[in-house]
Amino acid sequence: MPDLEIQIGELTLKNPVTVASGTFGYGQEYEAFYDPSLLGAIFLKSVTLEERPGNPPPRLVETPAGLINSIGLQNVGLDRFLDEVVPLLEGIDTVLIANIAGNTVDEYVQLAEALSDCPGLAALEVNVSCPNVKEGGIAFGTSADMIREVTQEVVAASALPIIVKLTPNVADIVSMAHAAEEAGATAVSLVNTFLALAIDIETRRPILGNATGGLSGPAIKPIALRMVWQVARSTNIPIIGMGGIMTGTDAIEFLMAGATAIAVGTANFVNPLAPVEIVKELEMFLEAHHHTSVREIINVVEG
Amino acid sequence: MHKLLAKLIDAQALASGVFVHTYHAPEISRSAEPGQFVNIRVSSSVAPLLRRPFSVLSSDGREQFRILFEVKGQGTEILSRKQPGAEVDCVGPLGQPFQIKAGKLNLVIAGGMGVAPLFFLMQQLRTKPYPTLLLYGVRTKACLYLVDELVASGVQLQIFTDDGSAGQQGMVTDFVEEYMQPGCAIYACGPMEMIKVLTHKVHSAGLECQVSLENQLGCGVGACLGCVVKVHDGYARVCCDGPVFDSNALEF
Ligand SMILES: Cc1cc2nc3c(=O)[nH]c(=O)nc-3n(C[C@H](O)[C@H](O)[C@H](O)COP(=O)(O)OP(=O)(O)OC[C@H]3O[C@@H](n4cnc5c(N)ncnc54)[C@H](O)[C@@H]3O)c2cc1C
Ligand SMILES: Cc1cc2nc3c(=O)[nH]c(=O)nc-3n(C[C@H](O)[C@H](O)[C@H](O)COP(=O)(O)O)c2cc1C
Ligand code: FES
Repeated sequence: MPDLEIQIGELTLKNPVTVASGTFGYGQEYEAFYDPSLLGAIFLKSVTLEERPGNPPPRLVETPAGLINSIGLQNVGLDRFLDEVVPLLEGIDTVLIANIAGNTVDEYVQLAEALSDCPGLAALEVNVSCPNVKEGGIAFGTSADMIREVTQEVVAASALPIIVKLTPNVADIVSMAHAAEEAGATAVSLVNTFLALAIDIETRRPILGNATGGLSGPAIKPIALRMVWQVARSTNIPIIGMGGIMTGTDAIEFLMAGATAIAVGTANFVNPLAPVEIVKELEMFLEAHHHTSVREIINVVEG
Repeated sequence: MHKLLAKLIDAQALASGVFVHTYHAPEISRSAEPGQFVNIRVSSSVAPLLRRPFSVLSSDGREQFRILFEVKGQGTEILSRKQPGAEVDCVGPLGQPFQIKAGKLNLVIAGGMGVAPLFFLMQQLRTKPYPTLLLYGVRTKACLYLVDELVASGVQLQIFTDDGSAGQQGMVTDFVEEYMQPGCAIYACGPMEMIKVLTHKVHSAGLECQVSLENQLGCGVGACLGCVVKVHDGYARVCCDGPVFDSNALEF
């Protein structure tokens, strides 16, 4: 049996297959299909300081090999997250990573502080795709300076390892990853969804209640993979790779491109067993190629 | 809830583009309740990517269940081409079922394909002591499905067609007041416009009803928060808080 264990900073994952924030709830919904403890880690749905009702429906549009969503970070807010959600996580025997989202640096800091001593959480993922209301609403993740600032502050506010989740809606993903690395992040997740639009040709309006949304699924895989590869070549920060991963082959591509772990998102909706099937396919690939450890295929792409 | 390969054992075309499929899947057939649905992956490729939800039309409670569907786009088209013997990737049963209420009369209101979950409901209402009246509204006579089975099962049936080609001419919602009576239990499924008008009329009469809604789904299991509809205290998920809702919880 090949060794699937990987290390991301001080975090040890039993295997490199995780599930992406917002696609797996808080881990309860998929328990009917398999034991979530089989996963390398679970990235929990984004939590914000205050409760958020989310965007008006429609919130989903299917596109060729893709899905546009505009959930709008619907969540119960920090207080109820601590009281109601955290107790549900007890008994899930894997690395649990909370995902925090804010509209000001201070909101990220408050979330990071409050979640730092939360039993059961192993790390924090910082969703920087949100608009910075103090900077005219441009997303934190589209400016290297803002990424640096928010990362520094969150790293200072929390004892937990900090993973910065980058948005792909930028001209130069490498400089964003650099900023997170310099500011002390333990790892970067890439990528979040691509800003997208669908139009109802009968009503001549955007289909989504929020007009635009984020594209995920196989449609984005080649672009996400390219970004992981670029960041891996020019930084030393560990990468959690995601974007359209459906199969073991997809996952192996991301690992070879330089991701230390991968996350399964939209594929959960299509095949609820996708993450555990990917673990098996990865194991089979390693065996077939006589590898003793998954670490032997990470960041091996030449040229 | 199960994920399994259901074997298609019978496929019938009821009309052009309308099909009834019978599947062998004991795990689903044994536990499915009226109002619940199955989520089918029609293609192992990514075209289309997402599963397609269909109400359970009926179940024998042991081995087989049926669905009734209309070809709308790529997903239903692919499903309609499957032949008996095909193994179909199916998740279910999903969602909240109808709650069977004791009423002097079961008033069941179907618009178009909305008859599917109600058919299963009426199967179960048959075992209750009170009578069931189905108000079945469709565009035109050719869009009436399963009428023989319905009549054979003993439900009283009142048909409405937009063009008068069968039953009463007009929309169900134009006549529904005539059939409502104090203490009746009302169940409905159909296009959103029909549900809106109906709910308004039912509430005006001081009654309430259970309605089954449709929406674009993502995960189908409550994880993505993509399928929500507006309810009085926020948003509710069609896939797992519904698809059956108490009409007085909904905000239109
Ligand atoms: C809980 C639940 C239960 C259901 N039960 C049943 C059932 O029992 N029977 C049944 O037949 N159906 C049922 N449905 C509906 C069924 O799931 C859909 O009809 C089906 O998913 C359609 O899939 P498709 O791929 O064939 O169509 P799609 O390709 O998804 O398209 C659907 C329609 O949208 C239109 N459309 C797409 N893009 C645009 C655009 N840009 N502008 C304007 N229009 C556009 C298309 O023309 C098409 O008519 C149910 C749905 C839910 C949520
Ligand atoms: C319905 C949905 C909800 C999402 N919610 C969040 C979220 O709350 N926070 C976040 O950081 N990313 C969120 N994402 C992005 C995913 O975590 C992931 O980065 C993205 O979908 C790309 O991976 P995929 O193509 O495998 O889905 C969401 C994605 C989807 C499809
Ligand atoms: S479809 Fe995902 S929550 Fe309903």
